[in-house]
Amino acid sequence: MTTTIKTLEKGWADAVKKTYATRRVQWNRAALLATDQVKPNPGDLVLCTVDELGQHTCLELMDGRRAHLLYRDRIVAVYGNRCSVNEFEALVPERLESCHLAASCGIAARVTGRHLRMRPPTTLTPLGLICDSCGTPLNISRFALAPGKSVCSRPSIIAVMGTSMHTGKNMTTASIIKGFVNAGISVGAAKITGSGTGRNYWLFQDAGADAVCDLIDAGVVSTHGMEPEKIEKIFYDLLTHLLSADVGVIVLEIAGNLYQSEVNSLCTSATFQQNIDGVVFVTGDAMGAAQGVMELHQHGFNVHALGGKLACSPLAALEAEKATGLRVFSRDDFLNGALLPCLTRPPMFSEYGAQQAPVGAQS
Amino acid sequence: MIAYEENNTLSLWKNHEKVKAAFTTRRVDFTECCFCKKGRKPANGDLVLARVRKIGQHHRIELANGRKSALFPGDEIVVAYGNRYAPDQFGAMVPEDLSPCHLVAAGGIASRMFTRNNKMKMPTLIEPIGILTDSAGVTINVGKYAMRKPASVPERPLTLAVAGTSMNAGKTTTVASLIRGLSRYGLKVGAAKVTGTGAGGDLWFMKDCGAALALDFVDAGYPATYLLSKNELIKILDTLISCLTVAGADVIVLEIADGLYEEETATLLSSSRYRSLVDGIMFASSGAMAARGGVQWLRKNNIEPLAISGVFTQSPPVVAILEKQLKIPVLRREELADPAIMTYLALCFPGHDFAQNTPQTAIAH
Repeated sequence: MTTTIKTLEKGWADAVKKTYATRRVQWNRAALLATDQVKPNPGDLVLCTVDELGQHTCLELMDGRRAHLLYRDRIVAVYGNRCSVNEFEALVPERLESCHLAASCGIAARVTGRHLRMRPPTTLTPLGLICDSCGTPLNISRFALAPGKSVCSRPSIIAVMGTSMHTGKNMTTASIIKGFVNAGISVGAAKITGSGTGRNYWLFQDAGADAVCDLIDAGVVSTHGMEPEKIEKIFYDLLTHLLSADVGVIVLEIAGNLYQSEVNSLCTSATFQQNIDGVVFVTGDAMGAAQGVMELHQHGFNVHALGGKLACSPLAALEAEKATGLRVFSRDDFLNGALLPCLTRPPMFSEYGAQQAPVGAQS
Repeated sequence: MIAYEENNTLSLWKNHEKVKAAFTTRRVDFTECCFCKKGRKPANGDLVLARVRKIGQHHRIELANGRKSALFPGDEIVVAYGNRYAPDQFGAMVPEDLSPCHLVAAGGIASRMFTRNNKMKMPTLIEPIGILTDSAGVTINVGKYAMRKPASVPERPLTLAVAGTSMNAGKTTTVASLIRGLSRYGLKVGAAKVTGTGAGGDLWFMKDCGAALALDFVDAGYPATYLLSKNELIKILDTLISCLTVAGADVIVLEIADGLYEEETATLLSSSRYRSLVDGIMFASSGAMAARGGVQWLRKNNIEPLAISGVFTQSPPVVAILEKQLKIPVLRREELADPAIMTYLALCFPGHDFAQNTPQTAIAH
């Protein structure tokens, strides 16, 4: 059986809504549309029609605007697996068949499970995979950033991790960034795991970061189900990119909780462990804080402070401070430079594939 | 970070990507902005460089490309001075001087709030650094970059307006659905918001629904229309319709913001120039009582609405009562968004020459 290929008409791209996930795509490469007998792969660009509106009635566009999504709209989405405990679990289907908009940044997938609070997902009918002039499907990995140059010194690197979605991680990360910017320090920021929503990307820029990158720059739309080596590579590529921007401090947001396999892969990676000088742990309650800090310590991480929704409740914050011995900082604390004392002289940059060092070896 | 220096020169202006320029300044050529002057009396439309002091109701500012950028204390923003009238949000007037004032609309309006809806938090507090001027020291006003009415304008296409009982009566949804229906039928729809306060939400919604071009009063040189004179309002209406006509629209859909009791809306709808520029009106209402009141007001001004729509259409019993009482068709948003809306319009405007039906362009062949 052979693939059915059609030609994309001139001007086709003007009449479609191009999702955030396609941010790096060079549209002049798109020439053909494979409409039949093709197997979608994660990262492939797919032209779809919107069938029935469900949970997502808005779409993040390439430039960050949230556009209204309407019945019969044509969009360019990207196939990807997604696992979000508070939204959808979704997998790339085997064929070009009716599927779902699994995230408003433009992830096309078949939803296999959803949080009870979610409405059914918006349904999409794929018209075909977008291909180059040779008939090869365009994949966003083709447009990934080139990794930065090798360096030996690096600034302090802070990771923001948390117990789950919706505990205030985004705003905590943004406040940390803004706190450094307010102190005159240039900041590089990235979101490493999860799915490629533009929310963080733009928020970090809005907070004044000089260099910002995310999964889309690494050429993937989501890290769900990825092998540990691939996740380590994404971390390495994005980090070296930020290092080549010559910033004063790097702030990384790690989406998802510590039990998600991709976060766990990162936490056990020696390259990651040796390049993170400290963690800010974001959570909504004291018990989660205590458990999270304990597990981070077991992995050998230094934890700078606690933050997130916890800081909204003075009583919960007290509980957490008592249980962990760490300070709980509010958004305003971070904005006012609560993390400035953490910028100690960092160790050398640990190259990709670093060997596991004994816990506590980092200076 | 700091765009402004003590000698008034906008030194880092050329790489000012960290200064957040609001949607209301989208037509401005920033290379012409050279100085930032203190001690001037602001006027409607003047550009001001300001620093965010305390975040309140608006914690994001809309940029020229429609993205809503998060605001932090200390951020530098460029916005336009303007008056705002929004019963669901703020009432605000351009202050007398450059003392601290408020960000009263996310689209980028600097003003001083004098009243607010109970549901609103205090507005975001901003501290003007100075008024932007050109190299000769002349204040830069958004009016400088307004679209001008073209010298020769062909005969305008069918022009429909949507007015409503109040803010949040469903006007924008009515406008958007109508645009959707007309564009799905194959018409090139030109859309405009004639009155209101500068913000991208409605314009982007119009474009998302298929409008080939969407303009508003900012394109005609005003950041907001509150307190404008009748002549200014008519000039805006005329300019927008002319520009959409020249751009080749097959049909024009206009949104008139706020309720009929709002001063500018009433002035505009009761003017004779309005009658010569607009062929028909659809009326959006929040509830049954307001719909009756609105239709009475329109009839008193010799305007017979083509149809009524709005939030109340979600309640079938209300729809039934109103249709019977007012003898005006009620159109729900699904009906407006259907290409079959053209059948209804053809009945309303017999003999009108609508453009040929060209179905949505095929993407691949």
